[in-house]
Amino acid sequence: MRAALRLFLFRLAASLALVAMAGPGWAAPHLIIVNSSSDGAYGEASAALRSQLQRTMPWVEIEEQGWEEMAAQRLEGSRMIVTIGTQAARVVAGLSPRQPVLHTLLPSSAYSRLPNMPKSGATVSAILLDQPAERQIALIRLALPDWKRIALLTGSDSEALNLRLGELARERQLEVREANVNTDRDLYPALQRVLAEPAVLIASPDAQVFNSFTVQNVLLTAYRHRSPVVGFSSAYVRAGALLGLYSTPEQIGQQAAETVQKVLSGEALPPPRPPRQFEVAVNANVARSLGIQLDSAERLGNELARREGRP
Amino acid sequence: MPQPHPCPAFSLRQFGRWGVLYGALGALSVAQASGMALGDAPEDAYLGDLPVVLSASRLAQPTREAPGAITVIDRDMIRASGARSVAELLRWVPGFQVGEANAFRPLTAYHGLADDNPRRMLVRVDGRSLYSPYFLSGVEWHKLTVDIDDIERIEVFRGSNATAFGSQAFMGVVNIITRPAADTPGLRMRITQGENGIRDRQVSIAQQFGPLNVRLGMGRESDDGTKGLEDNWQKHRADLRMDWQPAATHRVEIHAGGVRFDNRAGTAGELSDPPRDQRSSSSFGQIRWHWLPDAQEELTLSYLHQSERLKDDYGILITSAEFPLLPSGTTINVGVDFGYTVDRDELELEHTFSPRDDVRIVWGLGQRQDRIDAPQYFYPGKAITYTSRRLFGNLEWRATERWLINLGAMSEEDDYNSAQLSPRLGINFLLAPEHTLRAAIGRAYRQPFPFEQEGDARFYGNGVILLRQAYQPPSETLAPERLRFRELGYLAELERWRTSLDIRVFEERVDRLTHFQSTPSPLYPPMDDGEAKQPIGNRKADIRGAELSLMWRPAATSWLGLNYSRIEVSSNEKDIQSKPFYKNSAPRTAASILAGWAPWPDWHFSIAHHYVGAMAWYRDEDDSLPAYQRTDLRVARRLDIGTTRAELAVTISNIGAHHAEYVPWIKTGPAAYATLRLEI
Repeated sequence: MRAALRLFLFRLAASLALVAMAGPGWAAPHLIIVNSSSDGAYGEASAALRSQLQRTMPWVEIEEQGWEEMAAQRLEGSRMIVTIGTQAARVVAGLSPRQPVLHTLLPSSAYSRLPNMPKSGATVSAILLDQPAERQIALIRLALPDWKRIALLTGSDSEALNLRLGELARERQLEVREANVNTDRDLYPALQRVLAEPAVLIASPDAQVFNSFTVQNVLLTAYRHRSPVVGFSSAYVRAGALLGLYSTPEQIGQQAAETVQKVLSGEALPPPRPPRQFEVAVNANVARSLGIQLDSAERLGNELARREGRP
Repeated sequence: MPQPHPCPAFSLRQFGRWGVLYGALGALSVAQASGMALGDAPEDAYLGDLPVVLSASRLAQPTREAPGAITVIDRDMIRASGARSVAELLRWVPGFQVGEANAFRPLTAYHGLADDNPRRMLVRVDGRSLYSPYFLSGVEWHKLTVDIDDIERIEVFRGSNATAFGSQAFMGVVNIITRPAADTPGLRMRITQGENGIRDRQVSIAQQFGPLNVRLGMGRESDDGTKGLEDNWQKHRADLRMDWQPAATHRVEIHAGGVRFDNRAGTAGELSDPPRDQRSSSSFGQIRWHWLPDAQEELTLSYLHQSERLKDDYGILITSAEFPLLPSGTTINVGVDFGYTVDRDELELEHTFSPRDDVRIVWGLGQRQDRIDAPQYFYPGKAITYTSRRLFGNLEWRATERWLINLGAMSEEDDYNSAQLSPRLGINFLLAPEHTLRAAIGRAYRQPFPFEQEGDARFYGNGVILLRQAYQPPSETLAPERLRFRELGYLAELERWRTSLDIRVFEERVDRLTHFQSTPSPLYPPMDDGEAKQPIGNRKADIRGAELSLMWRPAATSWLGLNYSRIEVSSNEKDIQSKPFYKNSAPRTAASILAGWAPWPDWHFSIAHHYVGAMAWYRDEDDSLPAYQRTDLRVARRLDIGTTRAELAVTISNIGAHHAEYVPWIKTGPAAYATLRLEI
């Protein structure tokens, strides 16, 4: 009863505040976006966030700031803060603002290392870049139903993810080949071991294992072993991965807008989440060369979304 | 007089060189950071750019989409063969003939028409042609700098591919693709020790410096040669490959290598070809720059410089006993110098792109120049500069899901002949999933080489008396040899059964074949009845036949394969009163059974058995070879120690009775050797 009353009072106050703030002459914005950069992916995420909010909540005032000149007083008066990218997230987390903070466009490994993280997640949350393990395994089962073996290379940043991927794969009767990569020198023998027989190699966003320098070793070795690679970005597919599963900055921006909308309407900040919308990409040249028949990226993406309960 | 102390200067120089290297590597890292838009942010893994690794040139064309029959020998098969040289592996390809002129000079030909300088088939290593332009353009396998363990795969295009690779690919192409430096173990060592003095030592190191991957391989190989021949040999080789990724859309490959080859040559008791030591060397540097704006487009610019040398000079003392025309008691000294120097420069541009989703176009142009200084082959010893230029293109049109059309052409000209067009049309029809029908028709030209066009080999006594003219130039410039071909193929790739079947029926009609014929020399030299070999382009040969290749491959290391070829050669030699040569230049029937399996973990067995029907590498009836069979066996055991991967293998090549594979009087038999391989 008391809780219901508190919620009612909160909503009333919020509504009054909104009405008040919508009036002319109000200086403090409702939402502050702290961006790691105004260019590229960061700019795209910010643009998507703002255009979505302008459509659904045109009265909300938005101010975008760079992380470089950030200070506690610049955040004062706003109702909510959205950060884009790890750099912005670090700076804002360091200031421990009282408002709800939504960090976006950062991987879970970076999120878990942010400073001053509150014990309870009431005021801080995130939309992470990492695709859920369930979705990755579902894509492999959908796109490559004849493939019964997956390969995982695990570094210190991918232990949890690969553990989950391994569990899910085994539940679905997939054989799992795993190897640890702790130093650069481990990569070559690890690849040879896990790909001794052709397998679907799932690249994880663990910079120790999969980075721009090792991408050559990984893709060339996998190709020679006639093993398809599932990457986590469109660049991976362009580079030579057979399949890619990723979310665009635009999709993350849109999801952030929906969260902002809810919080500004008085709902609580949801817990950190993976991106809801995603893209599937296919490298048709690699598929043809490996002799693998694949559905189009669009059909795979739609079917995967349908299985997740979305149209 | 005080001597300068050598050590400080030496070490300073060394330091200076390393300083330059480290400076260069530092510069590369900076270029990397600025060029690839990759910073330190954790999300860059998701959002940053990456280089196109599996570009068009690195992706193998699926065999079902090729405008001809392709046999691929991959790394597992190469290793399991136990072969010490790549040429041996061509026994695994239907339609190929492999012989050994001596222990270090294998002869390889496709569909015959060869002699001891087979010159109608091209071998390429990472795009570099491997043939010698100073004499008869044969493939010089022994000058290969790459180690067999560094080969990624060997793609053999069975049939003419002058459309893509020019004149040299008149009857077929062997493409050797080496492993990128990034896909190489950090350290690999291989020691082979065996019968007949077989002693091979190979070492290869690979290291990554940020965007630069480097592999350096070195080796020493030798054996005691063939019994009864003067052909023991020793090879030292070095091979460098660097893959540098300065930016996401650029890749630079640098290849360099060198070989020093020491061997015995000559024939005991043969006055004009006395037993002697030969030393040859070959070195090259090649840079290939790839521009990869996206996964569909690739532009490659490559430049090659190559130098080859042979030192082989000796004197012959002729007495009246050998040469009755001489007054008794007098002698003549003949100076012979088969040495040569050849420098090659080659520039090539190739561009692949897709203007539409269903169309892929490859086009390019290139120029090759050989500077040949081989006085004994080109009287009066002038150096020759030979240039050839080519322009080529191929359009691949995926007309529907089932029809794939390849239309290509090569226009090539050289210093002797104007441009000739070698076109090809290939149609691939997907009969059903996994079943492809293929038809191809086309024409190819082979430009005769400088030695064919102006070779003039004379031997003088005491420097002034003409004794013999071995070769004389043609009476007029030779026109290019012409080949018109058509073929039908069927390819089944049954993924479920891990089985592939390729059947090919072909007809190749060759005319204007250049042939060396003994003809009276206008110089009337007193030896050899005054005759000198002269090239004449008046031979014709029609080659018809079929090839079958069946392979069951349940795993990468397990296979069972069957190859069969039937080749019928008919020629116009009878009409021009010539001994039949082309007719017997390929066996009517040849077959191979190939098997590899791992009966227990860590063990691997491989066996290859070949049957080769009667054939001849030369014209005389004495040179005819009876049919023979040959078996090669290898047993390997893996012995991993921690992360070090080790393997001990025993190979017995040519098991069974001694038999001839080149000329009847050179018979070879089994040779066993053991190989220890370590990869760290």
